[in-house]
Amino acid sequence: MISQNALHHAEKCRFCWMCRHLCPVQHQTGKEINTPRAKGLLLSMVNKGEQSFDKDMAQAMYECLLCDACTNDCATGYQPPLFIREARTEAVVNELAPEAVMTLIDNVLSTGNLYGVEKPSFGQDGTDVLVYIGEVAAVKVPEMAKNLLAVLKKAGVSAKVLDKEPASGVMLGDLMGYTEEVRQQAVACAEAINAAGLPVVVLDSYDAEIMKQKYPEWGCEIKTDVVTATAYVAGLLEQGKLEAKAARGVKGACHDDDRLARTFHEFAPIRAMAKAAGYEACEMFNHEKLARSCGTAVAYGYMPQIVEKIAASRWEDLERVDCAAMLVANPQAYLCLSGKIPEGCALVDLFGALV
Amino acid sequence: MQDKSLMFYMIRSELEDAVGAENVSTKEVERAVYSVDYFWLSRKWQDAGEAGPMPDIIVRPGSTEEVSKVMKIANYYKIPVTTWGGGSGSQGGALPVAGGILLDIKRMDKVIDINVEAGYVTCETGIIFATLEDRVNEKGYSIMHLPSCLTCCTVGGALAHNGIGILSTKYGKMDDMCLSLEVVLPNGDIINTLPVPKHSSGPNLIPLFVGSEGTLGIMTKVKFKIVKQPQTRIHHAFLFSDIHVGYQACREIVQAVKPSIVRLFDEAETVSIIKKIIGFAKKGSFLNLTLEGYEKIVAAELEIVLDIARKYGAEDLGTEYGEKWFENRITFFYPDHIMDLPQMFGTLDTVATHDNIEKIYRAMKHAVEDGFGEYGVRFISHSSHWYDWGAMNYSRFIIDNPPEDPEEALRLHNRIWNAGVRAALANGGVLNDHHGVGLKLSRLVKEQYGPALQVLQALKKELDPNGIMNPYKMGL
Amino acid sequence: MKHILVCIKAVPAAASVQVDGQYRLKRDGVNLQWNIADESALEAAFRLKDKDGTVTVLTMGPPKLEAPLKDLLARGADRGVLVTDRLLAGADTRATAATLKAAAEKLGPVDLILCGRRAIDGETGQVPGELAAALGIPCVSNVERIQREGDSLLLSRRLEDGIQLLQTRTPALVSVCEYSYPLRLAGILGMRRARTMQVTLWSGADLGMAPEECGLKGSLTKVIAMESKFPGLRKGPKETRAEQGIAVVREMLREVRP
Repeated sequence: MISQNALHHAEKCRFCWMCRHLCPVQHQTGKEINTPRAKGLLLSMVNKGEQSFDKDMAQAMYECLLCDACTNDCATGYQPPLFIREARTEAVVNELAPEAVMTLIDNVLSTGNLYGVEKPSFGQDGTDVLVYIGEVAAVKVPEMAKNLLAVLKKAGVSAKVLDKEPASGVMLGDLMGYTEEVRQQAVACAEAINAAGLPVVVLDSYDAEIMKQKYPEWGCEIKTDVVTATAYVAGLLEQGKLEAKAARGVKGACHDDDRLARTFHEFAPIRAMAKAAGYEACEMFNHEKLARSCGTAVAYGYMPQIVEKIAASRWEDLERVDCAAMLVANPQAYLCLSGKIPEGCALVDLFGALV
Repeated sequence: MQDKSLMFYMIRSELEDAVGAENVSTKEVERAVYSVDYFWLSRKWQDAGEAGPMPDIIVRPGSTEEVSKVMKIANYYKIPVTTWGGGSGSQGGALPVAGGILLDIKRMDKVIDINVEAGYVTCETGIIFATLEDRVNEKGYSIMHLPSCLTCCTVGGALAHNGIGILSTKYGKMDDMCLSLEVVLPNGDIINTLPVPKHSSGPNLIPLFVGSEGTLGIMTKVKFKIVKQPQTRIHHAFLFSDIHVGYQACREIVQAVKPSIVRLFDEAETVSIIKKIIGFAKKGSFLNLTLEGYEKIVAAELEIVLDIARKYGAEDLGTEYGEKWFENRITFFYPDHIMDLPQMFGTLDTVATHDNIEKIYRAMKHAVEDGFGEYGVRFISHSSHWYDWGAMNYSRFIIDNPPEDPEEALRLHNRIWNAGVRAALANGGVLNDHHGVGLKLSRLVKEQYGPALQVLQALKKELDPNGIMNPYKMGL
Repeated sequence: MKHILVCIKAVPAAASVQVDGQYRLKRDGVNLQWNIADESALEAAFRLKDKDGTVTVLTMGPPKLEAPLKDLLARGADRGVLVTDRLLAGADTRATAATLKAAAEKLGPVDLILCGRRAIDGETGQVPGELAAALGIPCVSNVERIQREGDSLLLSRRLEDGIQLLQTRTPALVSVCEYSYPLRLAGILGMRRARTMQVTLWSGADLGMAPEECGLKGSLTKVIAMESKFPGLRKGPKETRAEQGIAVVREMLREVRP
């Protein structure tokens, strides 16, 4: 079963309701089981022999985006994603994970990405920085990757992209918890990046999180600086290497993706990018650390209907503040939000807006 | 209901037809999470590895019409219906102790209308209260219902228990904020209370349902008044020589001005707070008071408050404590900050007129401390909701090392509650101020009402002749 | 290496350290984790063992360590041994070493014993040396790198003033520095395999130890007092801007450690 530490968190969460209002999945399904306390309670019940860990329970552990809104809210510091992630490992070990999840795991194990396709290469040589594109951008949102590279070129940055870019491990880690298989992906990725010996600019903040937080713990630290693409581009703007665009006369609100919002607490760069791209600043009610998740590529892969509803609810957040443009600088957020764009609204790739 | 019988599946398919198959569940894991709410005994039960009360079938309606359909089915087959909002009640009111249908209303979470000119918001009752408050805040307004469970409970749960928020002394509790209701009766009929809460057009229907804990019907929509966020909100702390002086001073204050928060602490609870503020222990009765609204009015009110405080010899402790407390007011409710198992604890909140409230405090303290001293019980109390006619006591008992055995613990728990509540009843108090009756205090309802209970029983009999609505709760 | 024995200790997680009335660390009812240096010892063992070799993990502690030991089996250990006995409670380093010696001998011939260089709870670093002495084998402490060189080992040892390179014959005992070999995680297949494996449970009697050799009774040292001193809060400047706050902290640190 789950580790003692994870169980400790579960036991603390089982009788606590404080963060339930922040769970984006709970908001859409209205199910009591989709609350952090319910998941903690179930794992406590398993530990006490009151319930068995079966397929239904495994399913429940996957009805979560791992968006960390609950962790961010906890005044004490308990982390529901910690035990939910370990419960996913338990599900996979016991062959109880939902079929849709198993398909994704097989895909990631064979190709590195969720989609089971060969990762398109953006390989190019450069001498200033190494750009890490990531799986979602490469396969599903290639325009954003191209736009980032174009922005860098415009700013006179010579960017290298690995010809065969290995997966970072973040997808597999979300699908089956942090197992040795995930660490092996991380080790391979870190080796490839370290061989390039350049500072790394990471397009997808989900990749940046695992690289910065897990790689050192797993003994495969990246030796050079790792920065998010948003922070890097904002830096170029500050140094005057990129020109600001003329005002567009459009109100735009930045969507803080889960990792920028709650792992890196990085809010200013995308706002600086939005301003430089000519958008009139506007904020959704839940923004920065409290930004509501719009879904992740992993969750979109195995529960598309729920993620579509979650994304739609983020669009509602935008419409309620009379904003027309959803400004995004993360490929996963772009993917989820592009499913259904409300009439009169636009989904904007902030890198593209700066080209 | 028997699992695996033909009839079970017949009824399940009928319910699926009413709300959609994806909104009906009989999965063991889903049912299990409804077996524990915030009630101490349900937690103790789970902690001891015992199975809690589980529903047979979970139904999640998405609209009033669907609730109506479900009620018609339940009434026909005489299946118990327990309504569940957030499940964050401390009285066991949402526990499906009779099995049957668990009606989880959280899909009904739409904000229907925010009318800032008229000053109201209309919404479905399955919305989490914090979500509703956020939506009103987005427009610069507030419902001003800020309980500690704001983020945990649904609007329906707050209504069902006639909940209260920290700003109640100025803005009132649920029944003061509610302008009108839509209710599904046990027979499935959909009714509306009159469009306004105050009139002389026959008896008001709102108080029949607000506080009825799911025993008379299911509230599906509500209209709340909303107010503009205050221009200013100021906090001020004082220390009185003892709780007696504190009660006197606060009575005079709330009869003169309209503070939003008045939190008066007894000597036992004051010690720890005062040490945090001034750095050393000092005996007395601590008061934190908040005034809010237009700056000019607040300034005038503050003058009056300071005059009264001086008259009662209060030490002025300034504004910092209140500001910090307001900012961190819900931190206390997170794990490791709040009481938790293995401790046994409970909140014996009650309300009474000004002439009785101190008597109740002393009687309850005596009943708990002297009656259960052998268990090392601690008794602390504060009064945090005030009216011009009276006040409430938020009295708590805590036992650090209660019996491990759940049955033995249950017995002790109920004995303490019986003693505490009876002390309140004997001195002009009531069962509870704002948490409700639920399963926890159901047995004491008869003692409270006496022959007056027949009024409620008659209503119950007429509206819910089959007794399917939240059985064994609220003494009905 | 045919058989490597790794001695590993469960220590209270930093946030949950509690002491009982006899100045012993509480291990029941607190959150335990494997000592971080011991994890490196285990990873080093995985890398040093022969393809057909065996890694045995040995620990002393409460019965609830059975599950965490299984996690080490999932990560690749071949055998897990838990010595658990009320009589062993309160053992000092010498009584601990005596118990580990008895267990090591019962486990049969061992080519190499690996330990963490010290545990973060007691911070003595004495057990490796005492165990080696009890077994009559060489001991090399504070090792950061281990390489096989035929039948011997090349060791890189962290000293206060540099790195020392040593060669030792086997069998030997090597104590390993924390973070030198980050422990691999458990893989899915490893976890499935571990479910079918059993942890060996031994009592003091199983090791042929008399009660007076064990635990508090078998200890030469005893904690007779303990006090915690709180330096008191300094009234420092309050800063609301991060950069200024950082500057203040830098200044304070310079005072403590110029």
